[in-house]
Amino acid sequence: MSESIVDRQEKIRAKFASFADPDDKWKFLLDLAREHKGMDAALKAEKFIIQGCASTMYLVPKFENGKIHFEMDVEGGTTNPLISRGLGALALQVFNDMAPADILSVDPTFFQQIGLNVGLSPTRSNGFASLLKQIYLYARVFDAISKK
Amino acid sequence: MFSFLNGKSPFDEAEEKLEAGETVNGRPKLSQAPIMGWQDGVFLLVLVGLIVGGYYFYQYTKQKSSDSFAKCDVLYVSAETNAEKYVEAEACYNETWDLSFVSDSMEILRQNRLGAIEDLRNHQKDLYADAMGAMAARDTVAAYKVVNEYKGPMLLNRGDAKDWNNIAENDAIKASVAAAAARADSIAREKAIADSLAQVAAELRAKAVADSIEKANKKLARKGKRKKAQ
Repeated sequence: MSESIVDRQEKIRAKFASFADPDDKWKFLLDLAREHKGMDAALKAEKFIIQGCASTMYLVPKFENGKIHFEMDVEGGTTNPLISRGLGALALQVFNDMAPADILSVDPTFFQQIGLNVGLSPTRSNGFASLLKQIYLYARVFDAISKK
Repeated sequence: MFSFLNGKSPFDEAEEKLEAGETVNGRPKLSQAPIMGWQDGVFLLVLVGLIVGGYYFYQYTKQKSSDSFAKCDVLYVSAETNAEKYVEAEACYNETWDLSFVSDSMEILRQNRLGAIEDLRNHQKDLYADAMGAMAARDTVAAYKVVNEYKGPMLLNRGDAKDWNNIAENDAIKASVAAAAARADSIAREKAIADSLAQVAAELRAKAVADSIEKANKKLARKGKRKKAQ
């Protein structure tokens, strides 16, 4: 049986609770970023860029078998935006391959509750909020489509 | 019969050697051969060279990275008292992308510091948008105020920085700001004079009222005395 969205949240909550050092959170995000596979360059269309992110973040949704699959990648020009990519990968750990209704059931303040925003620069906080907003928007759209 | 062994078996050769007295403790003496051939020696030398070279190269890249990050750290720390250094610190950290060794702690520092500089840049971009909005509304005084109240580093791109500096340095804008300040001064002065006059008038009115009350009281007192006398 596949993992529920609540189980996923609890796993991430436990992970964040286990961080003894403030740097542990950043290391975790760096690891997520390094493990995250990018996406096919052909998918990187302007319409998939998340507005409000300092780096160029692409989020491509695919609705299949009642679940939304997301592809995400971040480009930073001359820099390597690992933290932004790690934040995106973290969001996908919760929301990827879930039904729209499951996604919409997640409390939008979940990431704040686990302390993700602590020490996060305002630009990255805003970018992450924009990403979440876009995920919820896709979920609402696909939810409406699936109910038709 | 044709034979590669010249008609001898390998056992014949060993027997011949034994008969010739080539023995050690009664056993046939083994032929002396080098530990390894020269090819093996070269291979081993190359292998050792690669390991030692790799180790020193790793140490060198590690040292190079820590030197580069230390340089950037000095610039970033000095930027806390001299904001212009943020630009140099950002350039310094951007140069570290080519380094082949970056530890996790270096990466965290780099990401967070570049993020902090990006935040400063976004703040200035917001102010720039405000200033340009004020200019579009022909409110040069407001634009000048926005630009001149900013005490941070110049982090805008070249084109936007040029607009920003034009607002800060433009003589016509400075003149209109000075005129506005002078107008504000004269209005303030006039208001101060008007306020003080109003205060004097109010004091005079209060004194007049107090005087008339006093007079009325005296009159009443006189009337009262007359009545008693009658």
